[in-house]
Amino acid sequence: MEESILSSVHLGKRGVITKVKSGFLAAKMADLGLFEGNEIEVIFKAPFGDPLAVAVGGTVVSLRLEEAEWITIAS
Amino acid sequence: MSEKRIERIAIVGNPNTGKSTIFNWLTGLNQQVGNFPGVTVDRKTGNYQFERQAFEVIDLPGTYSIFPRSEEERIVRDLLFNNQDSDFPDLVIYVADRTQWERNLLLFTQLYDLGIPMLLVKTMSDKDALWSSSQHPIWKERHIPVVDVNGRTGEGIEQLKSAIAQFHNAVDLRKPILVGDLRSLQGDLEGQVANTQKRYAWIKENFPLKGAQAKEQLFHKSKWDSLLIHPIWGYLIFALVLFVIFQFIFRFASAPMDIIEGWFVQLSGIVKENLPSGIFIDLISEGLIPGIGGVVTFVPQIAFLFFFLSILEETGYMSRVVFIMDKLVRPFGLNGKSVVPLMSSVACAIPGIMSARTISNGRDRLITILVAPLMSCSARIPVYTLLISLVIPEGNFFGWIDLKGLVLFALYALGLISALLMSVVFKWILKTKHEGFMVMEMPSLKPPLMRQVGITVVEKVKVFVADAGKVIIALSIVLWAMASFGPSERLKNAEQKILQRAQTETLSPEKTSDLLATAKLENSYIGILGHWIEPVIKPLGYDWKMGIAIITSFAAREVFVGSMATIYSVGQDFEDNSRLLDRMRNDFNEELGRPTYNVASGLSLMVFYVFAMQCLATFAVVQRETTSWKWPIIQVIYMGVLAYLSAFITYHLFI
Repeated sequence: MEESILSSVHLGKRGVITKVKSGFLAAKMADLGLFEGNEIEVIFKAPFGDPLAVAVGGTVVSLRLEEAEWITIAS
Repeated sequence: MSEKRIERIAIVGNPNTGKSTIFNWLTGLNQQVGNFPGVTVDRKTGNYQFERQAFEVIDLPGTYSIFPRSEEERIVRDLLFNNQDSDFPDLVIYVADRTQWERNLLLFTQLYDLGIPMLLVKTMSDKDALWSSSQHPIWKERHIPVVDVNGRTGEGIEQLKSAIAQFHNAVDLRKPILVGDLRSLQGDLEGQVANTQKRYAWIKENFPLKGAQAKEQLFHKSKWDSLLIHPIWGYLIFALVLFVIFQFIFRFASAPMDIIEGWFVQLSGIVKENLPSGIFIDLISEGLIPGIGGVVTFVPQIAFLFFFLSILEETGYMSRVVFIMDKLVRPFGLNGKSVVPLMSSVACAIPGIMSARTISNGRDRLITILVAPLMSCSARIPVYTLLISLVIPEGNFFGWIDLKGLVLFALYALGLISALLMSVVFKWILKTKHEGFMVMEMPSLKPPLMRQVGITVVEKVKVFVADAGKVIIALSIVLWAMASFGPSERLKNAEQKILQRAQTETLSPEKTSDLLATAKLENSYIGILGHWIEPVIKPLGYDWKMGIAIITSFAAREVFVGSMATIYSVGQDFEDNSRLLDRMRNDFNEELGRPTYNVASGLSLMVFYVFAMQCLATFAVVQRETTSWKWPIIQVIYMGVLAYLSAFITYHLFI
């Protein structure tokens, strides 16, 4: 199992969230389905690689690179 | 258990679920939009009749969770936690989209456990078959009535209305989904995350996806998306979209605007001719009617712009624009959501500022509102064209770049650049503790619902006319009074002089009345003010006449042209600028020994109009959108200072 920070993975990467740094942002992310154990896939990247968008639970969530740093995924 | 009749219902749900569509189907145009007290979050209420019963509906802001992460969510939390609140509903209509079942049900489970009487509305779509939830026994077990509604056709609305009327409160019979009081988790972020995870687990367990393929299908990327966020095509498409919007606005909004303006001019003429003259009639014909006219003429532009903006919003394209623009504007203290409000301000800052409501980050929203009027709006065009044809000589560069066109382009560019630079300045001044986040949902693309678009347009126009209109009319009456009254001795003397001159030189009645108008304006309080500020504006290359025009055009920039026409006694014939141009061109400043309007003073005046906040309507809208007088006043001052300094520099560069 290979772990990586969401902000550094390439387009099309699929994995399971293993860690979200705790804090206000973690709570907001959890509301939208971004929490430990949920499966996500990076489906879009904006022209300059930032923000990016992930598919989670049948919907799409976009987040800035600096926000994606809070999430670790394993594939 | 006392059975209370349902009178007040609230519509609750995630954003992008068709919540407002349900609200609009229920209430039609029987709705009012205001603000929640103290904040600028839309408070939409409406009512409808069903079987001779009246129902009151409130459409609460879209919410993901009962633990608030934004101002909108805080309002929903505060309301649903407080059953003493005057808005507290007898029944919550919970709207969930079946393609987003998992996320949409999170808030549902929270409200369920809070013991709020609820009815579930499932909005239908073509991906329905993917979920095994259709006739789920769980709803019956848990005493939740379920109604299917098709937002596009309105199918199911009658069933919804009758389900509301027949609703029986069975809150006491509910088994909790999760045991424990959600209220106690308000300050505990980690507890909230753990609680949310458990709720998602419950949803997944009870509403599993049908088969493995279903997931693939839901994750499916739309072909359109790869195009809309493409590094080249994405920006080209956005540029094209803006191009089409502006074409439409300039082509189709200007005709109705002229017609409306014409009506009001006629109306004040009729009032003047048919009623005995006097201050009261003058107040109506010259103050009130043009003031109302000044409000109504904006309507076509606002309506057109919101027509397009709500299509962008409805289709989901807006979030793609936010996605591709965010990185580009971030260094300036803006975020991706500021882009469309700022671009709209190129047509008119009013709808631009009104549409900044979608920016959830308070500071970014305020910055966007503060800089939006720097974008060159269409009201500046008459000022620019008059001054360009007055002072910029014919000529070109490399045989194909027209000098006049270049100046116009430079003025637009100056507006844009200064808007971006001022954002940086405000970003630096308005420091916040946390920078705000942009974690947000990207709704899937869908065709727009034209009924929904139409209702949005009507609602925005109503808000502008009703709320901003009051301030605009009041202030335009003040401006009228200042332009029509003056020290009576002084006015009488000036009038007498003109009448004598008319007799000795046997002037035509039109000529006489033009000259009288000039004398009246020159000796009114505004005229005196114009003279009085002359020493202040002299360093910019202006004289008192331009001072008057600048003061009067605080009402609206294009008033500059009309004031100049009055000052140069050419009457209010807007169709014919050439006579005004001749008069202005021949105006020679003896003191300086050069024409009053030369390249330096002309450019200085244009630059002044790039920066100065010469628009009552914008002032009124900023007041409404920030719910304070502080920000519009700060805006007038900072833009005024910028205008003065830049005009000063321009004048001295070109003199």
